[in-house]
Amino acid sequence: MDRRSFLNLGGLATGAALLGGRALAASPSRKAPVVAPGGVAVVTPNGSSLPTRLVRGVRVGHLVAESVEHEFAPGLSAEAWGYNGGTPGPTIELVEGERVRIYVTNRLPEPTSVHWHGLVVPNGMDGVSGLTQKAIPVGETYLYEFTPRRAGTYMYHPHYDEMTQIALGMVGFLIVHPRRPEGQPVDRDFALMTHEWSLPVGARRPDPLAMSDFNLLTFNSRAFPGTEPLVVGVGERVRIRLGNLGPMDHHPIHLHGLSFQVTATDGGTVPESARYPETTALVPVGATRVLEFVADEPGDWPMHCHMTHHAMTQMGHGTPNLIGADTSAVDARMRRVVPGYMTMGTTGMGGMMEMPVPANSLPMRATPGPFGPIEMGGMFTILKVRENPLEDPDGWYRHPAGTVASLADPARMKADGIQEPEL
Amino acid sequence: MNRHRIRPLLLTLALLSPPAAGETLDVDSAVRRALAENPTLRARRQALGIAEGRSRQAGLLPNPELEIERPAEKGRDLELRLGFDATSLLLRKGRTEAAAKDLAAAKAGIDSAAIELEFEVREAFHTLEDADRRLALTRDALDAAAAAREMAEALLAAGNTSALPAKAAIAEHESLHLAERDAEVSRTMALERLTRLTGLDAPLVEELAEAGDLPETPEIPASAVSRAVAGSFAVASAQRSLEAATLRARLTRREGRLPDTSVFVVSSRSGGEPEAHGSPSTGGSAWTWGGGVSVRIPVFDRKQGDVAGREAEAVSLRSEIDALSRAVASETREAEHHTASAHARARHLRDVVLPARRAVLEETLLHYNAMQIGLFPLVAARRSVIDAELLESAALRDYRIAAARLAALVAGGRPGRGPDTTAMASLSGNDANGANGGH
Repeated sequence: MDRRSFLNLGGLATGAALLGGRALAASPSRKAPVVAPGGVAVVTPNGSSLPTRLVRGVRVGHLVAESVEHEFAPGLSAEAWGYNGGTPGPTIELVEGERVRIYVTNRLPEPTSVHWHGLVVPNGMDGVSGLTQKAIPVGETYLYEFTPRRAGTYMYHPHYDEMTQIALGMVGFLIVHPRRPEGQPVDRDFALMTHEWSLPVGARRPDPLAMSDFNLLTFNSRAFPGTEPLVVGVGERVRIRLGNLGPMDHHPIHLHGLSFQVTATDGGTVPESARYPETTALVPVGATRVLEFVADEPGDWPMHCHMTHHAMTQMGHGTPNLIGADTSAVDARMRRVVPGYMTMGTTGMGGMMEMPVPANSLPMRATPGPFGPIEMGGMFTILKVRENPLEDPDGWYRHPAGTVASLADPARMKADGIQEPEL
Repeated sequence: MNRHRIRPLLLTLALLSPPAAGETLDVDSAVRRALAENPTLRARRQALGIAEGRSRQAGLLPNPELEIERPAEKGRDLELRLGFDATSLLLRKGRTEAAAKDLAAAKAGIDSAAIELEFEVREAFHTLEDADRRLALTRDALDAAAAAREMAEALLAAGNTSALPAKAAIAEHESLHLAERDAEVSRTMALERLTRLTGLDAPLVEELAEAGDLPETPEIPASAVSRAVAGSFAVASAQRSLEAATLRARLTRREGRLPDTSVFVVSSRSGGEPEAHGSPSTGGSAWTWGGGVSVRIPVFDRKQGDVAGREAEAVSLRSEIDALSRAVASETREAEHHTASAHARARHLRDVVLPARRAVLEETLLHYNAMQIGLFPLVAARRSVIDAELLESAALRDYRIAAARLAALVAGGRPGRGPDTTAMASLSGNDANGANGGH
């Protein structure tokens, strides 16, 4: 399957998620995007926003906690838990000072609750089962009602059996737009939730008991090549809201091709005097970071967690280190012992061939790119900066002539005083 | 094979040609060769001449007895006396019938021996088949262990591991060489046993013919128990011996009651004066004829003791026949059960256990391809398949031996149980029964 196919499938998956949201008959219909005056709607790649409506001045929404059939990328699906048919749950967009009423229905096999992470609410609405409320029993609907007093980028998640419910995907963004414009206006506003999962190769249900060996890292619960790219125009001001509700690991999110500033956290706005340029933002567990930048260099730019094992999918750790080993004798014998055997990894892990692997798995898979396989996966997506972002958003960047690294000309090397080393 | 098949088969034995290298030998050919060449069976057949001689002897008439006497008294120079044991003549028919029964008992014993030899050959053949497979599978396991060793040594040489994995792999590989030696010894023993049974002077040189598949249902003849009891040569032999004993008891009783009678004729010659002292007269002589009967009156000895002995022998044989019948019925029921359970075990291994282990290997290869595991679990999965293949081979052998034993019982033989070959151990020391065994 080529990349275009992946992206088309990704679009279909997004559409299916939206259809799933509309299918909730009890949910209020969304009349218009919730945005700040003069602002733009938040885009949750591979995700959705919660449909809400105003009822006598109160914004009303409905979350349904339930198990979901979730696709991380084509070829890799799992039985996860989420909200309104997906993981992450729909992004909830509210307006500072506007009263909100969220109904939460529990369709899980165990009780749950919802905690509005980072948002200051009346104590009884904080969602901590046992401490501030009774847990929502199976099959029951509870009401949360409060008035967000401070704009910002927040999250929501259960506070009942957090280890299980968060590990299985019950996370989501809660964004409070300012009543009046603040800071520099942006042209694009994206929300990306990082997460980590333990999904053994061939398995269909993530393991909530995992504590260290996570093998599936995601943006908005999708692993590359299943991640939807962020498409922006040259010169546009872009905001990317990053959240981390993963179980154990912080993520240094690195952007190629630009530098940015962290303008806010879930604690509030970072004063301009405290901002400084960055190319990597560390997003701790249980925190949000808001990045802003102007995309002034066109191209297809990776954006990924810089922990190398987080930018690949289902890497195993049970295989011995074969680099440098002379396995020529073993190869001949093993092909007799187990037909179909092939030694891998003696010269490194790159350039892996397509080989039969267990069903429902994406280990060590490279994605076809314009110049060959893209040997990354997991928490990886592409920021597409284009002169015209509406033109062929699914295609690869077309580089101007002479701007792509290529085989060096020996004559030019010699002229530049470079001697090719003996191999 | 039943008794009706044995004799025509024996008639064709002379047509057999000697074995040659490169040819294949199937189990039926091995049986035919054994029936023709087995020295023990040949000796049994030759010993049948003893019973045949006795039978023939019993039918012969007693010889007449001729006495020639030169009396000392004057006037008689020669007396001839010809006597004949009339009692023996009267008892001849009974003796002939009893000897015929003895001969029939001996022949039944040989038929039984032929069937039992056939079973032994089938047992030896299937044991050799299994030993062949076991040796080949052991070498496959050795190959797999060598691969693990080579990989461990390559990793050590590259500096990627400590010496521990390499040392463990070397120990495992070297240990499997012992299993190969054991498998070679087992094969040699099985080959020599089949060689002995087929009466060859040198080991078999042919390849064994490809073993057929396990039949879908166990080969259990209908009404096996009643047919085995009715057709048992051991029971038949004892029955003939009983009949012989009964006839002899009757004969002895009759012999005791009959006066011991001899009839005789007498002829004497009387002559003139002797020509010289001591010389018979040569002139004027004449033969006179007479006769008589000699009777020993059975007043005291009417062979009461012998009769009692014969009757006791008959009673004992009757009990022996009853015991034999019960034993044959029990052994046949046991063989039926063993055949059915051995078939079920072999089928379970073939249809369930082996595919399951192969599925594990296939899935392990997929996980290896996915770089979730290394070569060592892959080799372990292959070894697990080999273990299952060893168990399946042993189970197939057990089934074929059990079915051959049942067939021999139904055909009238009474084969021994043979070695207990169930639950042969796998190379890893495990088997489907959880028991340990092996060579």
